[in-house]
Amino acid sequence: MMPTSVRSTVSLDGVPPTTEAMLILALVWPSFEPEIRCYAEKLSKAPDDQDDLVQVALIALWRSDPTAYDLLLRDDVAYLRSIMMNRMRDVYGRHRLRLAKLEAEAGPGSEHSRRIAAEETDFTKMSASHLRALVTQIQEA
Amino acid sequence: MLSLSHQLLIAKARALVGTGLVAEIALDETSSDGDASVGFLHVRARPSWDLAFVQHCGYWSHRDPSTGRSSWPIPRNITRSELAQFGTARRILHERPSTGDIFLQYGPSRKAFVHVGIVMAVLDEGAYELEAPYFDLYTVEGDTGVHGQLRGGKTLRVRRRLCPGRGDRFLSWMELDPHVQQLARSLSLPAASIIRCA
Repeated sequence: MMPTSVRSTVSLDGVPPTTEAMLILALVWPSFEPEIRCYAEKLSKAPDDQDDLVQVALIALWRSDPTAYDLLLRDDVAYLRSIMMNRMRDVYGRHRLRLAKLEAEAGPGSEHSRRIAAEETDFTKMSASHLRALVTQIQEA
Repeated sequence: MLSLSHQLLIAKARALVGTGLVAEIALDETSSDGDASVGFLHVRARPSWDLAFVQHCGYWSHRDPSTGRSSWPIPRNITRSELAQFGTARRILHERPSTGDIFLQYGPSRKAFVHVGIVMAVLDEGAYELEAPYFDLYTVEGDTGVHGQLRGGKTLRVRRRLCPGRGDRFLSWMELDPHVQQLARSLSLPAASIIRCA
């Protein structure tokens, strides 16, 4: 999926896209994408996280404006690649920190986990639609 | 001598869009239009001619046939870095574009200006969240590609997004016009504001 920011740049009614968007979509991104996807898979095993990380890389590429780089030079290509991978690492690192914090807060015996456990077993607190879905699920099983 | 006029420059530049004329001139000359401070440019088969395009348009659009002299204020045979230094020394290098300015695109990997061209129109401006503003411009450029890439070998009209926060700058050469400077002095205003009002 294309990030909203890039999509809005290329789909302005009647206005041609800016060059960096055209360059990314036509030439640069297709050549980087397999490598970036591999790197996302290396960072995270979760497919959703991988997709998010690929998008983070695409946005980083777009923001860095590849028209300012000579794409025939190995150094410039490596520079662009490092921008994308550093950004992916930053975002994923922060994401993991946030998750770890949440897990610590919701660990066994914590107030949060007690509340979740109580809600899961107390059918009187469930909404009607939730209950209906649960019953259907049980019947199908 | 002709007065400095961005209409003259733009008209000349537009006339050359799609032609290879300037490329031939630039490549025939042995002048160093590529940035001499960047060593690996010399590895390439040919020097870049984006600055030669701007200089060619500027010189010939401001040449008075009766005297055979041009009022184009930018010295010939300078590199992009020297052009930026020239602009900084005269306080005409800005972070905001105007029609007719020369844009200088910054290349972070080389830590130098890597491309120049002429601003035909400022289409839009905005800002990335939590970042510096950007400007969407119509430009005319030499040695560019259909996707705006460096050393594309064509003279084209391009819709380009430049961002002063990334280091891009705009050289307002019109401020060097003696009439503008005189007016600015008499009104005690910066020359840039006179140009913007005009």
